[in-house]
Amino acid sequence: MRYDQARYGDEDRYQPLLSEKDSTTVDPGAGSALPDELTRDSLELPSLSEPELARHYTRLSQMNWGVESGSYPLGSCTMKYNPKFTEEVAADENAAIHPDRPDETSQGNLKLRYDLQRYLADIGGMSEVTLQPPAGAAGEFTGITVAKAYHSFHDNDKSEVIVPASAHGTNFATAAMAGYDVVELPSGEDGRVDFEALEAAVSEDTAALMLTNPNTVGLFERDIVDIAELVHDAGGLLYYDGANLNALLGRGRPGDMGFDIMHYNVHKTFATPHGGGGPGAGPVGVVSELAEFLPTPHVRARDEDGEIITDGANRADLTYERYEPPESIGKVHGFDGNWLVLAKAYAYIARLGDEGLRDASAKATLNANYLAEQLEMDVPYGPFHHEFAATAGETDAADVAKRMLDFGVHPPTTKWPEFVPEAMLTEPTEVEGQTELDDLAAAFNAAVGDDEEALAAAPSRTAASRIDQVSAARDPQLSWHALDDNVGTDSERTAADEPVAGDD
Amino acid sequence: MLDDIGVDSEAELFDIPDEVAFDGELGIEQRSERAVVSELRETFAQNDDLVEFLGRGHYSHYVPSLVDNLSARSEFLTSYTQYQPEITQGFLQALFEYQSILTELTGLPVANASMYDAATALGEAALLAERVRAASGSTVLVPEALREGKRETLANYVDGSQLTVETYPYEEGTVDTDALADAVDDETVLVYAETPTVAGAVEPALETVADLADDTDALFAYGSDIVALGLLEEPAAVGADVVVGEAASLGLPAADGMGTGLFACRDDFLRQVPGRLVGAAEDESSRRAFTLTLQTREQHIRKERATSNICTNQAWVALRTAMHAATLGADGLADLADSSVRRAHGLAAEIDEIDGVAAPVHDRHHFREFQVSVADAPVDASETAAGLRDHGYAVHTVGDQRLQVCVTETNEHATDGLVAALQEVTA
Repeated sequence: MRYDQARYGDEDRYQPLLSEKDSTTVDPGAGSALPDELTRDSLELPSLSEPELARHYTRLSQMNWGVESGSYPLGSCTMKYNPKFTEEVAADENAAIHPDRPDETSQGNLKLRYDLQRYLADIGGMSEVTLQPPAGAAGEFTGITVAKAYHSFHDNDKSEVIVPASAHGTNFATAAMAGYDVVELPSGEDGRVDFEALEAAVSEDTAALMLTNPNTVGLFERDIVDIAELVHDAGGLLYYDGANLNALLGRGRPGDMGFDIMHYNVHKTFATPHGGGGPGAGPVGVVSELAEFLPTPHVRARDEDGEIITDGANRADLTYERYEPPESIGKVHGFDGNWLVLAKAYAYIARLGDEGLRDASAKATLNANYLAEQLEMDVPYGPFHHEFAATAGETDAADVAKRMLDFGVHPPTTKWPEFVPEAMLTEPTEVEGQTELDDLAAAFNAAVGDDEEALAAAPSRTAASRIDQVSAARDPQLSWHALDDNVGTDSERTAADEPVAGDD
Repeated sequence: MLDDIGVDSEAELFDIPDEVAFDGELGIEQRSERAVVSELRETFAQNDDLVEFLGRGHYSHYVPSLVDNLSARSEFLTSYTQYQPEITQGFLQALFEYQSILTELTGLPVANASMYDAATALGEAALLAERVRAASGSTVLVPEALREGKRETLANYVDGSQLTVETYPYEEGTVDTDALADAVDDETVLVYAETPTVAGAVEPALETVADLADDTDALFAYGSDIVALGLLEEPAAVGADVVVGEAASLGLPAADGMGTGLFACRDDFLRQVPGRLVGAAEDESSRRAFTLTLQTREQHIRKERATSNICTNQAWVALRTAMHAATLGADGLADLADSSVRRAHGLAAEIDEIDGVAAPVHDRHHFREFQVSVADAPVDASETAAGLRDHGYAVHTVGDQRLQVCVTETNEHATDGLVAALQEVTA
């Protein structure tokens, strides 16, 4: 398919910046109710009429690509269609409340939070779920902090977190942020955890093993029961990175596999909009013996007799309250997380139900395997679950990706995971139909088969042509105050040699 | 499609061992779209219909329709991180504009796009201080009167580092500078002060705080929110090294605690900044374009040596914040900020007229909110708040004898009713 993205601009730039259209400077201190020494004397901001602003942002949106523009098979990011009605639900004015209201006056929002906690717990096979973490990486940090609190409570002296080489970058960063030494586990030849290497890595110092399952090349860790036993025998905990949960919906639950802690990426698995890089939400589920460490406040329900109901989703006869779990780690967000995202996730799960969730994982897996089959590229390790890593072989995966942009699709995640050479990690999700998958495959095949010249010249049909990221980093200009007139004119274009990976 | 792959059913593709496969029922009933919409409408209607005079870090300002309409364009809403900048110029430019608005407001040259909220931004500021600090210190000093969620989030962020958090006292609702001078020593790596404070007081001693921090080569982290920054002395001008706070006071209405963290800092910390940065670049056609930049700081490249684990952030809210700020312009933002002072002062004066009730508690200028003492009234704070609730108003309680009241353009219409109700409840 041929594609031409909207492109506004002149010879020097694209759509002018707000500041380049018109701006005004005022003296906020003049006539202020505050004394002069507390106020600023100058503030300069863009000054545009509403119609001008509407055009500005409409044009910017036309120079952007979303799931509704076309295929967006970014591996490990689960770029599903975001159902429209969930926006309507989240925009309900009655839900737009302040978090410091007393519980008895916010029963509606607390009910949704409780019901979502229960839905997620059931989906993951967990005992309790906190909704507080505002993103996947925040969920990881919450989960590892819970693990740390658990070990500390039991006087376990633990210093290491094991992370497979194929894991998302956030896993490494999270473990380090929590103060653990990171032990990197090499991938086995079959793309899965190398069990012997794991046996060598696990020790009494192991606080946790962080695992994604299916892993980042779409393979289920078949040894999961043995892996769990190995880690548990050493006194460690097993952490599930929920980035790839879409593959398991209704078919496998981390809790049943021996995982003790997991996070859910609701912006992936439960179809809340990715918003250009957030907001997401990263609820964390735990098994019962870890529930007392969850962040405060947690939401629980009571029936008419005042009994605490631990599994009462969708009941009309309960009252809801916030409380502090006895050994709570405290808070990981100033308030209670990304409410609007959570409300949309609930609506999506309720719309799908058991049946829809199972259909989603089935179709996501079917689509990944069908697409892999259509590619004239080597796709190691199949069959897959929801995603696969094709290899561009001798060709630079970043070049192939740039060329794909010209065919009206968003390319996959490139150069990651690193153990697949020139990887193109592809996750079509369940939303694509066969025609779209065929078009996507055609884009892959046309791009990977193109000659060097065509690849180097790509993209040509997007708003901007190939962007020189290397000089942008060498001479950072991060605001309109910092712009010089000749951005990067003295430099050679260089293809960015960095992995382009999406994650939590 | 199944034939192409060579299987009879999707189930054959799943490689989940029987012993851990799930074949039970989750018990989640599938509903029609109409049923879900109607169910949730009923659920949310169970929230009491109250006029909220609530703040303490989460604020309700009127969000112009333009923000809702244009931020909802699917090319923005349904996109993701701009890993392919050529096809995502629109969002990159909007984030660049967001960063630019923050650099204007803070006077600092670097602003990221974005953090989760003010509390996590403070946590990141502390970790930044640990990374850039040349000396061996390890203490982070924060005011004793800090919102609990902020203090606890900070405690978790630094728990894996060498840092410890200590507090310094307030006097009359703002920094007790003598006590802070005693608290700052060679161990201090970061001094945090905020304006307005959690109780709405405008901090008068910021330059002293900055000097005290500077004396021991500690960083001064300045906490605020984006509306207040439209009026208050520019953070850079009072010596701020880092500015953190809430950005979604513009862009989001009350959202049950959801926000966006603003984070800005000095140029020399550039390569230690957490999170996404958008920079100007040039494309093959020699036109100016935008791209994510300095990504080698980030977790997807640097792994355990990244400056932060943050990946997904609050980009779409940042877009909305920029839209809201652009809609207001300099005049509009300065007016909104100044109105926030006038409304607080005006309502405090009215409340102060009530017998047995005193406001504001602190002899300071206030921004949006202030504390009210009911010490001389026949009812305590929680009884007063409960009484107000019966009249349809929500206020904070702070301890046994104080309320806190926040007023903006979204609840100003109800201030007369609030004052009358307060008079009745405390009579």
